[in-house]
Parts: sequence; C-alpha cells; structure tokens
Amino acid sequence: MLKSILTAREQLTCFLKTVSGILILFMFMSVPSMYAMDDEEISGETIPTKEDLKIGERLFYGLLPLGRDARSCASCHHVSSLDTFNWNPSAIEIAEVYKEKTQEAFSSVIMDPVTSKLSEVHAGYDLNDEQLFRLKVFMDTLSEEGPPRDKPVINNLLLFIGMILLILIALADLIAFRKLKYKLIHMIVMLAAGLFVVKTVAHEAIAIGRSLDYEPSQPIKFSHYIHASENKTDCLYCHSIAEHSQSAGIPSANVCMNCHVIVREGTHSGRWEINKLVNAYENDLLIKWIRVHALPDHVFFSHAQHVTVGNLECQECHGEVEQMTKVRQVSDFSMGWCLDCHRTHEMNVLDNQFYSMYEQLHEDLKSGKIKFATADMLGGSQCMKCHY
Amino acid sequence: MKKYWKSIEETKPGYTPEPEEIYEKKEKGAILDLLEDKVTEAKASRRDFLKLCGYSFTLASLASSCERPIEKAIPYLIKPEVSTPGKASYYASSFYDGDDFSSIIVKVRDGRPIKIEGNKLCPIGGMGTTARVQASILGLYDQASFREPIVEGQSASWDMADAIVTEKLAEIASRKGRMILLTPTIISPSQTDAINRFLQRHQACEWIQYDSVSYSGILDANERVFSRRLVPFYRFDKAELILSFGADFLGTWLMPAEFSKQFAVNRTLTDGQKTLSRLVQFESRLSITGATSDQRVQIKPSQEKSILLNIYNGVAEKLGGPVLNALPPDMDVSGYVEALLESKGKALVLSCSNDPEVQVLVNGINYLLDSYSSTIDLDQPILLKQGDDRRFFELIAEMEAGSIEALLTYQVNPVHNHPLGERIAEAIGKVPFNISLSHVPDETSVLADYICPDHHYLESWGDAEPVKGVLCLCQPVIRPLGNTRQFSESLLLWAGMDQSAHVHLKDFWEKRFFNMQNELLFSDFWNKCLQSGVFEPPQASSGRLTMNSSALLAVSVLDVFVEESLELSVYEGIALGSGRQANNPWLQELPDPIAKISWDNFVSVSPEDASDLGIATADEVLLDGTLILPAYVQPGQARGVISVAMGYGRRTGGKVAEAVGGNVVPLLVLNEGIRIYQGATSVSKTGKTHPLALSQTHHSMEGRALVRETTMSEYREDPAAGNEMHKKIQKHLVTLYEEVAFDGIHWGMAIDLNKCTGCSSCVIACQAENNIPVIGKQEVMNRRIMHWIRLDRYFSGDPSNPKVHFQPVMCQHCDNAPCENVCPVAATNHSNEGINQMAYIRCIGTKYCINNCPYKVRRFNWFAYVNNQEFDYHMNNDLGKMVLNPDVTVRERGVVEKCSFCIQRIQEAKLKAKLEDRTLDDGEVLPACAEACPSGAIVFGNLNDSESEVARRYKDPRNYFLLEELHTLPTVGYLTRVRNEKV
Repeated sequence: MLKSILTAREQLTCFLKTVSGILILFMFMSVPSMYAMDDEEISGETIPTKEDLKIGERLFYGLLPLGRDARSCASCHHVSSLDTFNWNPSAIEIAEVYKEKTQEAFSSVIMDPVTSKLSEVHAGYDLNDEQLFRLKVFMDTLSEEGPPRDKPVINNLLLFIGMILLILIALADLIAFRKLKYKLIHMIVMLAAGLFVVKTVAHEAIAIGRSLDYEPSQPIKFSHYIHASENKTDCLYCHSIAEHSQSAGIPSANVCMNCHVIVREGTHSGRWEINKLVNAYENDLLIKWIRVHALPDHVFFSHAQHVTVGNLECQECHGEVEQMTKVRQVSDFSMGWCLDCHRTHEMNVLDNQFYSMYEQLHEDLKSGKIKFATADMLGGSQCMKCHY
Repeated sequence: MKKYWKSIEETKPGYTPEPEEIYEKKEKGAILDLLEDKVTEAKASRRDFLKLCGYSFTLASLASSCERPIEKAIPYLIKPEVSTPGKASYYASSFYDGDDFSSIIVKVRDGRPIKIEGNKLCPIGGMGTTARVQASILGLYDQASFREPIVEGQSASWDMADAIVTEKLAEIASRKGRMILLTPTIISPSQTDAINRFLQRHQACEWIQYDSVSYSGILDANERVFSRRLVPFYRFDKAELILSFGADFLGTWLMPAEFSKQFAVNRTLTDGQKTLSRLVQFESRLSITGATSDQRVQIKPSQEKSILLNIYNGVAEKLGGPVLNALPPDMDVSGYVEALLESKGKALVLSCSNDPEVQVLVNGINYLLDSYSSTIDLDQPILLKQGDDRRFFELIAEMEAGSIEALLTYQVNPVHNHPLGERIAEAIGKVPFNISLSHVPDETSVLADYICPDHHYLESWGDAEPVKGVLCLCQPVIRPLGNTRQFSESLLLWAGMDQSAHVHLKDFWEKRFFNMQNELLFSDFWNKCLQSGVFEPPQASSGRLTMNSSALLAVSVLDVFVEESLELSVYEGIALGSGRQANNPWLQELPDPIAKISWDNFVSVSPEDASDLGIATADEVLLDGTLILPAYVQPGQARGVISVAMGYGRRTGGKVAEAVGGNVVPLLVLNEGIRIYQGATSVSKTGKTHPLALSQTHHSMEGRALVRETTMSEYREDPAAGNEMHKKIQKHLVTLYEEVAFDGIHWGMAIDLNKCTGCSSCVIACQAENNIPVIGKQEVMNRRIMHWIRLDRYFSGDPSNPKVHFQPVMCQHCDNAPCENVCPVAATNHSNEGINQMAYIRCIGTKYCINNCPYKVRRFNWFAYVNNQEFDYHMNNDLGKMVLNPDVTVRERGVVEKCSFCIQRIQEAKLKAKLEDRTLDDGEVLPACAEACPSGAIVFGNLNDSESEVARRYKDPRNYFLLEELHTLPTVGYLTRVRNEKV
C-alpha cells in the first residue's frame, strides 16, 4: 500500500517537474529584451544634445505645438507597426530615407512639399529651423535604433498557462489539501481545462507549417485592390508566367514600370510608395517582397497546369485578391484542401487533345456512367503527381 | 541452364555466399559505432519515458507558438527573356577537356546549369554521352578550382598579373629567350587562331601539344604509311567484322560515345534485322569492349605484334602485299585471316598499342582489306589527339639544360600522367618564368609561379572541330563563378589584342566559316549555329590513298619483352580516364563496370597467377618495388599480365582526388620518347591488406535466370532462343485479384542487353538528374551505395576466360509490387500510370519494402548526406549544392528512395503536351538513363500505345522480365543477349 502511494507521489512530482519546466521555458520566452541606449555623436556642424532629441521626440508626438491646426507627425506617420492598413509612410521609412539626406531636404519636405497631397496635409505647419533640426535628430535616432519593440501578445498563452495551473491546483487539492469536499468539482474543472489545453495544442499543431490568414506587410504598399479592381488590370498581365511555368512569378520591376513610367503619383500614397519602385529600378536595387503563399519544399505544384490546362480562376485558390489591399492567404493550402478540389471539381477533358488517350474515361462519360471528369480520375490524387 | 556467377570465389567448390555472421557483425558494428559509449545508458525507464513526453510536449507547444519564418520572394529587376523562374532553358555547347569531346545540351534552371545531355543534332556522338561528360557538370561547382589570378602564391588582380606577364614576356623576347606554350591537343579553330596570334607576337615561343593519354603510335604510323600524321575516323556501323587489339572503343578509346552509337547499329535485332556484326577482342585485361565482344582472345601485350604480323602475312599472301619476316605465331591465326578475307571491304582491325610499328601493321592489314574505302575514313580524321610525344620528350631535356626561359602551361599535367613525372617537375623548376592558365590546380599547375586561370568550359565561349568538317560551338551558360578569364582572351591580350573571347570567336567565324555557306546572313548564320551547336561545311574528298610499303618492310620482328617476366598493362578506367576529373566525387564512386570497385585503382591479377603468387583480393602488393596497390583477382585477366588503371594517385587536385589509389604511370617506360602503356613488372606481397569498396557480391541475385542469352545461329532458327522459359512462365501466371487496367498511360521501359556495353553513363546521368548523394568509400564498403541504377555484371563459363554479361537494374516498377503491400504507412504505392510511387515525406524508414523487394533496388538513407561534415562532398557546400535538381526532393535521413522513372521529366513532358493541346509523342518522355545511353539500349514509353518503340520491343520474342516467375509483373523488359559466336 505504502509503496503504491509513494509511486503515485513520485508520479505527481514528476508531472509537476515537467509542467514547471514548461512554465519556466515560457517565462524565458516572454521576458522582453532590454536594449541599452548609447549616445552616439552624429557628425555634422552642430552636435545634437540629449535635449535636442527629447524636444524632437515631443514635437513628433505633438506634445509641443507645431503650428495652427497642425496635427502631430505621429498621427499619420506611425512609429510601431499597426494592425490596420495605413497608406501614410511610417516614421521608420521616412527616417531611413532622410538619414542620408541633408537638413535642408528634410525641412523642405515638411514646410514646402512638392506634391499636392503633401502640401495639403502639411499646410498648417509653422516650425523654425531649430525645431526642424530637432525633429531630424529624433528621426535619425529612430532610424538607428529602430521602432520600439512590440509587446508580445500573450492572451492565448496566458490562458493556456492559466488552464494548466488550474489543473494543477485541482490536482493538488484532490491529493494533498482536500479543501473542497465534492470531487465532482475537481473532475469538472480538470476536464474543462484539459479539453481547452488539448484543443489548443491540437489546433496549433495542425497549423504548423500552414499559414492561413497570413497577411504580412510588404516593403512597398502595393494594393491589389487599386491595381486589379480600380484600374482593372488583369491578374495575368503582371503574373504572366503563371500561364506557362510552375511559378506564378512575382512580376519583375520592369513590368511595373510599363505603367509607372508615367504613373508617378498615387491617389492614396502620393509619391512615396511609387518612388520606392522607381528608386529600385533606377539604382539596381532589389525589391524584397515577403512571400505570402508558400507550399512546403516537398510539394511540386505547377501554376501552368492549373491556370492554363485546368482553366481555374486565380480566385479559386487565392481568394478575391482584387479586393485586398494587403494580400492575405485565404486557404490553408493543406493536402486535404488540394485533394478536395481534385475530387470534386469538374475537369474539361474534351477540349484538350492530350486527354484523348484516356479512352475508358471518355467511354464512361459518354455512357453516362460518370457525370463529369475530375482530376482524381486521371490520377490527380496520387502521391507522385505532386511529391517527387 | 548456364550457371552464372558473380565472383571468382563462387566457382570454387564448397563456396558459401559470404558467411551470414560476418555480415551481421558488420551491420551491427556500424550501428554500435555511432552510439559508442552511450550504449550502456540506453536503458529507458518509465521515468525517462515521462520525461521525454514532457519534453516533446514542450517542444510541440513551443513550435506551434513560433512565428513562421519570413520567406522573401525577390523578382528580377528586369527579367531576361530567356530565364523564367520555374522553367528550364537549354543551350547547345561543347565539352572538351583535352581528353574527351562531346557536343552537348546544357539544362539551365534559374540561372544554374544542372544537367548535361548529348546534342542529337551533332553527327558526332548524338544524344549519347559518356559518364565523364555527364559528370563534368559537377566540375563547374568544384571548390578546388582556381577562382582568381595568383601571383607568387598571393591572390592578385588581372591588371597586376597582366602587367607582370607582359613585362616578363617582353623582356624574354628582347633577349630572344626561348619560350614554350604547352597545351593539350587544341581542337578549337578560334583558340588555334588566338595561339597563332600570340606566337606571331612572341616569335621565340614554340607551341607543343601534349596529350594526357598518348596516341602517338597511330599518328606516327599514319605518317609513315600514308604521309599524313592523323588519327583516322572509324566507321563501326559499316564493319561486319571487327578485330580489336586491346582498343576499348566502347569504353575509353578515342570517342567511346560515338563508337558505341555506331557499333549499336549492327547490334540491333529489334527492327527486323537478321544480321549482327562480329567483334573479336584480343586483350590482356578484361575491358567492357571485351565483355561485349562475341569472342574474346586473351593475349599478353607482348604477343600483340607477332599475332598482327602473322595475320598481316596471312592477308598479304592472299591479297598480294609485301610479306614480312615473322616469328612463328603463339596461336593459330588462320581462322582470323580467313574471316577477314571473307569480309573484305567490311572489316576493321584496330589496336590501342602506342608502338608505331604495331600500328603500321594494323594499317597494312586494313589497307589490303580495302577498309580505307569503307570502315576507315582518312579524309575526315579525328582531331582529338595530335600530341607529339617525341617533341615533348626533347623538351624535358631542354628544360633541364636551362635553355627554356618561359613556360606557359594550359590544362596539361605531365607531372602526373607522364612516366618521367618526377623529372619533369624538377625540370619545370629550372624554368625561370612559369605561368599556368589551367582552370584547376593539379601537379603541374601548382608548380607555376603565376596562375592566370581559364574559365570552366561551361563559362566559356569557344568552338571545336573534333572531326574534320564538323564544327561545334561552345557558349557560356552561366556567368563566371570566379574572377577567371578565358585562355584565348589571355593569349590575345598578351599578344597585344584587347578583345573578348566572344568578339574574337564571332569575328573569326565570320572570316573563316561564314563564306562556306551562302544561304544566310551572318547574324542568322551565327544564331543558327549557336542554337544547334553544330555547323557542317561541305567537305572535299582527297582522292585515292597509296600505301608506302617501305614503312611496313621496316617493321622489326623482335618482340620487346622477355616472355618469362610478368607484364604490366596500364589502361584508362571508365570512371576517371586519365585522371583529369579525379576531384569529381560522382566519378570516384562510380564502380568499375567489370571489377565493381569504386574509390580505388587496383592490380588485376588472373586467377591462375593469383594462386601461383599466393595473392587474394584486397591483398596489398608492391609493384616494381615502388608502388603499393591492392590486388584484385580478376576472372578473364590474361595469365602473366597484370593491369592497373591510370588517373589515380593524384597528389594535388582537391580533397576528393587526393589520396585515392596510386599513380601507376611512373612504372611505364618510353620508347624513343613515346609513352608505351605496357611493360615488364614484378609483383610481391607486402603482407598487409587494403580493404576495397567492392560491390561485387552485394545485391547478388543468387544464380537465377536473370541474364538470358543465345547465339546468332540459334536466334536465326528461333527468335525466342534462350528465352523459352518466358512463354512457359507467362502461362502459369494466374492471380485471384482483379487485373488492373491502366487507362491512358502505362509507362514501361525496355533494355536491349545486346546493346548494353556497361559504359555506366546511365548511372551518372541518373545521379545527376535525381540528386543522388555520394557516400564515400566506407559506406560503399558497408553496402549502402545509393545509385538508383545498379549495373549488374555476371560471369559465365570458364573462369579463366569467362563470358561477361551486363544488366542495368533499376526499380522494375512492378504492377504487382511486393514492396507496396508491406509498407505500414502506404508511403509506396502504385500510380494509375503504372509507376511504383515513393512518397519520401510519408516514409518512416521501416525498410520493409527493401526487404521485400526481390530486385533489391531500393536504397535507404542511413545518414543525412546533405550538410554533413562526415560526407564532405558536393552536397556539403553551397557551391556544390548548386548542381542539385530543384525538381527532385533531396532526401533526408531515414527514408527509402529508388528509381522513379524520372517522374519529374514525365510530369514536365505531359504538361508540355497539355499546354500545346496535343497528344504525347513516342520518345518524348526520356528518363535520364535512356537519354544518356550512347548505344540506345534503353527505351521508354507508353505501353498502351501499340505503336510505341517500347510496346514493339515488348512484343519481340526476345523480351523477358526479371524474375518473372514471381508474378511481380515488372514494367522493365529485357531483350536477350545474342552473341555472334563462330559456328
């Protein structure tokens, strides 16, 4: 008897050890890293002081007046990344571009901008040279130090840990403290919390390697809505190689320049975003887009097969990209998702000569044995059609 | 049934096929080695289990809470028209490294050349290639190559190197000091032009061509007999009877890919032809040509001359040529003389001997037999070998005497491949100014104080004239990977012409070849040549030949060697050849097709000599008291002769090349400056053993009717001769299961064993196409070789002169596959196109399929062969990994892999047909092996299409399947071997 209790205790300690191990690991993960601030001398005529930086920061956030009816810089040029889409260039982007430029250029773009949109929004500013200098000091510092770090979102994680704690407390009460009389309560609490934990783990585990709803910010605020809906550009105008290659291809800058050699100012973004493209094109700089739709390396997928042979609309897999300002992955691109379509989607085997060799299939279609052909009937759900 | 055996041990009474115990110990030992001292700790308790559970739980939750890695998609700024992401481009170019030539098509994916194919538009070689040409793509990504100019051991800029070189050359020229430009045979007309311009500028410079394997004998003999110093072009497709003395023309001799193609023409029985050519091979070592021959006669190298002399006299007596003095022959040659006379005008005699007198006799026989009007073409000579051994020999003395002030070497390595290598190295040291223009470091180029590296051939512009009248272009398929410069560009610059190789080539072609046609404008002409890779200007015939019989009369009667001593014959191996590509791990791991040994050269000893000398396979032996090599008891080796492959034992040349094998060339002797690849030697045992990476007995098929063969006379009576059991077995194949019908496509392959020569080109082509890893000597010894095609070699008959059979075995894609039923996770299953599929991502590595495969064609990834320091070959560095085919998964540790019928090519071809709205053509889908096969032994296609070549071959009565009695229903058919034996 004694022995068995000991084993139970041993088991408990072991379990507790494991769980505490998990907790400690999580704690390490969520400790925010501290960044040391160093004052570095900025070469130039005037050496900026800490005072300059402080006042510059206040000016930027609108804590000091900028002029009559003038909005703070931060109200349009956000510093940290945003959840919502914002056409205005972020403070970091501006800081990086103007880091290399002179004070005069910086001052003139605030006080005396060239483009119509900028002149409109910057109209109320009344800043003197010293204030402008301090603003630039702040911006330069920002470009060096980068944006303030986001606080990690830990709601789900906290809930997850909380549930584990709840189970532990229930267990501890059940075995050691015995404060609650009714064991049913322990059971219900443990069951509910356990279910939540299992569900979270399963959900997260299935999502490994998949990226449904992935919606990264791109280096250029390229809007498919503006290009494909407002200006009615065909998908295949830019992604032309999708018709004959595996890859759909991110269009090269020269394709963009077909239009943007003339179109230099956007309705929403002014010149800022388009200038990034022109700058890259003219100075041989690469545009490093963030890839949204990515299949694992062991999947061989061909756009040509689906777009040209299968006659699928882009939207069937990618969703209504023409309505998106920021591209989001709307399908999970899992194997089950692929196979669903292969098994249910009607395939036109009559118009392509290639399929004429599938005699049995054509017979079955004629005789009405099958209503329509699917990719599956041609072997479209077999391993080596996609994995080799 | 004939008894087939795979190694000499099997023929001995009381042979047991490798004791099981030893095998198991080896296997276990290898696994225990990995665990080392951890073995004792490996007692897992319940606690450990719980701990593991905890950790894995933690890791899973951590992994799931992690952000996905940000992947960038970076497009071109301005997309070149020819390069589309995800689509391959193909360029015609030419391969020539001083030894082999091939007109090629290079496959380029996303800017990276990844595969080489033969150029079917080129009349030389056509679609077939040799293993070495296939493997040369890896040389582009060789880490050992020179990537920038080196001045006195320090990296330098081109400006600096050029300044020094031009200054020094000018200074030497002003003193009228002698300079030497030493190159291999230059077959490029434009390069020759650049060299001539350089020579014009530097009058005191002399150009010497030096071949790594000398063919001086043939050159000199033709000069003596026909006053034309050249190697004639041979026409094996026109020959009914071929007498070859040691010439391994299907493996290494001159142009093996072209000769295999020609030879296959008269070995075809599938298109209704009822005749075969007859090949009689006289040789001392067992070559693949000997293995393919209809009759193989074992001779010692020293007997060759007297046999030829007697054959000559026999022919001359009948046909009225001058009869020479001859010693009585060791063997009766009258039968051969008769056969030759019978096929007068359609006979071909050749010899690999480098003794001009032997070649004079060969010429004499061929001349009397009227071969020069049919099977030998002197008007369109082979230009690959023009080296002058005698001039080079004189050069050594001149360098030693200090009379040479500057030496420019380019792609030559006499320090390694000349018998006087050591002396040459010292002599080169006496030359004050020594520049190398080679692309790779080797024993000769590292002696240079100045290295001005050439591009790799895939980075170069150029042309080639391998055979007179066939002009091939060579174009770059990638930007130079290093700061190198083309050979001709360097020479032109030093000659005072600042012109790029591209401009020079184009100008040269406009001046020289453009006016040989009058249909096109130059730009069209140029583009057309560049696209097809070949230009064939019309050729004029030079009229009738006359023989200078005084050369024949000058042939001496005395034999060179004393009969009693052991003789040595040195040959080019299939894999390494002269050793130029020794740093190529694919070639090092390619097993010799006869001995099945990789990662070594070895001393082949005949079974009789071995028992006389007490030598066993893997014993270390001392040759001539200087060279230690492992011995290998080779059935079919002539008694009294030992053979060793050259090309091994490199001291410099990269980490793969170094310390593999030993260099046998220093044991050779010179005859008036000409390298003679045979001589006397002595052998003694050292008492040690040297383990050999033998794949001889592994995957043994235990003596079942795998290779079926017959003779020509039997075949004429019954085309199914030798294959009678096929019908019998077919009758007995019954099944309870419903037969599977393949709608549309049913892929199948057919291999004509009558055409397979064992050249191993398919093995390397498959390796290049399918990202097959190199695993190194130790792992090959552990029986884990990864090649998807196993080139089985069987012996039959008399062990001292056996018949040899080759059989390439890849996955048989059985329609009733035993492997599929046993996979617990359904990672391997059958496709609707008849392909035995393998999903690596699904495989959990139980290896049940490997155990249940009767053909043993499945391979297991025992280790991660990528990014693993233990397997430090091309897959362990970023440069080498550029050769990987992006359309094929690189397999990870713990999964099973095997031939997929090149599914990526099938998918690509199908898609192409769909996009073009048409049906698939027969022969459109070509797996890498079928494409590379120089003799066209392998065909692939749709069995459902009754018109396809593969379906027609399946109907041939010669067709059979491996182990068909098991009712596995393979879709790889084999056609019986038919030997044209003398009745």
